[in-house]
Amino acid sequence: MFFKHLKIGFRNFRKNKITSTINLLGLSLAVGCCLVTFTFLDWAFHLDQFHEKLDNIVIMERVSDLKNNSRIYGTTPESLGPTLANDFSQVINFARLTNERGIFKKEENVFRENISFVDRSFFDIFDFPIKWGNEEHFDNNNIILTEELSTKLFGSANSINQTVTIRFVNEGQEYFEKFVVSAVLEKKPKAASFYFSCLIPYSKRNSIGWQEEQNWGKEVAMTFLELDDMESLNQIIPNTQEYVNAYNQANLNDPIDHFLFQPLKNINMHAYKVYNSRFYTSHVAAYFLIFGISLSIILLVCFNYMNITLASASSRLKEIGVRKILGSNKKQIIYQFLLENIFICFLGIIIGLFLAYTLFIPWFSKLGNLDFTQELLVNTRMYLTLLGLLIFLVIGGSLYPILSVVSIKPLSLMKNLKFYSGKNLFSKILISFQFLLTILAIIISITLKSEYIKAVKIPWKYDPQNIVVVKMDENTDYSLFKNQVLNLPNIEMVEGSVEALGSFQKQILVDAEGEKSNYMSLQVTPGFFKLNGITLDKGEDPSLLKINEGQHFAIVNQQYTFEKGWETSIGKTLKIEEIEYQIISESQNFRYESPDIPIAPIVMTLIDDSSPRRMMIKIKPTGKIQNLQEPIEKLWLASYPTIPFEYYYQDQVFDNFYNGYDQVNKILIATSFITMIIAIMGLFGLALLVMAKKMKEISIKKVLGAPNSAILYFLNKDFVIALIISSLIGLPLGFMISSNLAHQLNPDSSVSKWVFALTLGFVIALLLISVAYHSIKAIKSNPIIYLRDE
Amino acid sequence: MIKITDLEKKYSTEEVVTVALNKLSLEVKKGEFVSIMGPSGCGKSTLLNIIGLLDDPDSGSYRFNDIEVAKFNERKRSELRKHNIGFVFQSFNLIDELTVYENVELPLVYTKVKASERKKQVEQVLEKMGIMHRRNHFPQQLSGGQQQRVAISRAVVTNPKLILADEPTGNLDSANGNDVMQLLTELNDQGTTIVMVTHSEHDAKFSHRIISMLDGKTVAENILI
Repeated sequence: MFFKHLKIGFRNFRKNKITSTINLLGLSLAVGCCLVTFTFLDWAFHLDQFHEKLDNIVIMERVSDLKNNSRIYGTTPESLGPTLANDFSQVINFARLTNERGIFKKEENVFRENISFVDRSFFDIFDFPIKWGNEEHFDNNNIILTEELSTKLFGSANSINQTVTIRFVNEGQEYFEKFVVSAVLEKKPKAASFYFSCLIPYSKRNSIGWQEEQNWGKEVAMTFLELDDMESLNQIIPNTQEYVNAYNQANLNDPIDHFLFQPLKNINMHAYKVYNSRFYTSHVAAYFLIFGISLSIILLVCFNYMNITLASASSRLKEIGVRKILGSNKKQIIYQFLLENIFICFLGIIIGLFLAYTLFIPWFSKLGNLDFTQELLVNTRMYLTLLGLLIFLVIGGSLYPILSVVSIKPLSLMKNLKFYSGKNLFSKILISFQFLLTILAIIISITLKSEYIKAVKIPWKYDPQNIVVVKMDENTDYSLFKNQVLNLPNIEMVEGSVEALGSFQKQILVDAEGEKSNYMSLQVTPGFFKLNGITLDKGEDPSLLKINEGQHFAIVNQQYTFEKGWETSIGKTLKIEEIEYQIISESQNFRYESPDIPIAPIVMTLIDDSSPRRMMIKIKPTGKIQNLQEPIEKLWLASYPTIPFEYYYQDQVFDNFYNGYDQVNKILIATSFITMIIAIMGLFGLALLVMAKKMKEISIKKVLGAPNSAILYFLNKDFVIALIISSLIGLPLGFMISSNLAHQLNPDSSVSKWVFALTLGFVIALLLISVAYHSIKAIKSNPIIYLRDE
Repeated sequence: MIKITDLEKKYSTEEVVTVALNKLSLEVKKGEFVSIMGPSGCGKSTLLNIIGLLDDPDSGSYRFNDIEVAKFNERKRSELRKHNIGFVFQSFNLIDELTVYENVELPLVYTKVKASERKKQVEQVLEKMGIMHRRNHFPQQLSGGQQQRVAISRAVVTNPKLILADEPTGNLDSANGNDVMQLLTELNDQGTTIVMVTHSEHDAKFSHRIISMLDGKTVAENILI
């Protein structure tokens, strides 16, 4: 019986080729999109599960109370881990991970890597999969490489027992350390929330001059604790004030409010709140956004499917009637129709899986820079999701039409009453919902796209063009190299800073007229403002200043003066780390952080040529920036052959700000496109069925002399009404959602009217595309064909 | 076999009440071949639908094989129908997606006859109706006469006690119509009771008795043999 029903299902599929293909394609696209969402959410909610002790691991963070703005930092004092492990029996173990820059030299190739120092207990807590060797031999002369770094150094060969030399610089002194490779870890597991490139025992730091002391002023990148039970946090947290005090005493410029004990298990919902987080996680909004998109698409497909099933069921009323007359009961008919729908949905799922695996997920992986196809086909949860989708689609898409049909009496079925004639209220609601979802998808993606365009055009109030930034090393002479660079042709200016403009600022405690507050800060050379084109509104031009021994100057932005409530900051004195700085100038508010962060006050202190860590080289407008990178690199390598030349263009800093934006944009545009395709296909299929039902009536009207306009109105009025209703609901709703979204991205943003005009244009075009073919066909048809009764 | 007493059936709309059957009484004996005739709208099809348990009367009694069935619910009607009644329609009502064989097999599926037994019975009836060679064809590949043969095959495959035929020749030319009437006569000769609604006096002559209807009542009865 099962195969008989399948056979009939296949014949019906073949008979209704167009509508069946529409259903199948819609289902496949929706399943493909759902699988993308699945891989993303499955990844996000199953991070780090390869660590056996995941449930008992917490990561320590500190929460600072920046003026009117609390921030969470992932860096913690070096002493925190050992102290907590010592003071609380509930802390079974601790492991710190901290990074230092080191230089690897491999033949002529010199490159810098982040070297992670970890406590030995790191391997008692974590279970990163090992490819070669083991972690047991992990003493001061050993290094554990990741497969990625091992390949970079030694190719694909097993690198166990190979030797590597790393150059470290600490307080100006160079250390060349040799290490034997004791283990190689597998490539970064997809589920790892954090990773590194190589590991060296923490204790090795002593021999490189980073002696470990009971010092709350020194920070490590990460501190992990292994607890006996998460409940223990209730006993530990109330007793941590003394550590906060110890930290604040050692870090007068950077006081904190409290330490945060964050379970690693929930890092996916937390890491986005951490400033400069080291975890590979997404913003929590991304989870909701992607889930929302998928849900909309699947609902859209269900509405389509339901509508088409409802409409096509009316062409099978006679069949159902005959079956009933011949003795079939409701159960048998429901079983037969469900099986037919399972067959179509199953096919849709297979094609959807294929689309997802070969097209959608690789595209999404490229966007997210993470291979989501990894282990997808062996993921049991994926198959359970597909099963859930199958049930959802079959029940959501076909149960209502089937139940509606089987409950009709056989005699009514035999009389072929018009079960679907376009007058069905439920169908009208479904069509309106389709339009509504499409309108929302289009509005949101157009809004985000326009916000993206606006954001790219946001005035940064400085000019990042034609600036090359060279990273200096502890052992390079800024002053000497600056003079060498200045001798190159087409160089306009060379200035320096300690922090990287646009990607990092320091937070400092500033005492202004007795009031102490934390502010963002940059340390820059006097010509920094001129080089970057930052307008100084008031005061002296620092580039004309000559800084004498013992003199300390600062420049603040307008926001600083505004928040202080001063008429001007010029002439005021700021005390930073017991040093008094005189404010000599006020700059315009320029964007030194991402565009989604309002411009905050910043204090910029002037430094001389002895301390910059970044050299900013401005090229003359007549010169080409690409042409100068090579001579600068040559100069560098001539002076520092063992130190890698690292540089970037200042205008690239902006790209990083827009990366997330750009990714969301691409996802939304793609999904809007898919939504429109599904909507067009659904409406096309529905219009086909409606036209088939109405052709006799249309023919009678034609014979009676109805004009084409009347025919068009008769054929499409239900779609037009649905479009009007959904626009009346969708446009204001879309306005609310997109305004909110735009405001989140840019507080000064507002959604312009043309977004709505464009959306309406898209939806009308979508409707025209869907019904045009049928309308023309109906107008051109010969009425006799449909009025013939034999 | 069929005893109908004072049967009433009305169809109501918001403004009009149409009396389809008006205190109609009728009896059909086992093995009879009865034709029902009358102008359009006189209630013959309604009567046939009620006899076939496709519709229920508003009042009156309907006894089928001495069982009162007028108040049966849909499930009981369906049970009674599938084991006792076969239907032949003017427009054949074959399922387009099923082959000739599958169409004929369908009533046996619903009466839960085993697959091997089904095959035997279907082949037997197709052979008898002379359409075995068309067993794998779909209805739209057949002529009208052939389609009605398939419909009759489907009606008789379960060996029903009663066959209800609603204008069985209405869509056929005279040659094919005669063939169909011949088949029905043969079935009746083999003991099957037949009630047929027709407009054709020619067809009615194949039956034993002609009942004439007008305005929901029987107005005349002619016994032909």
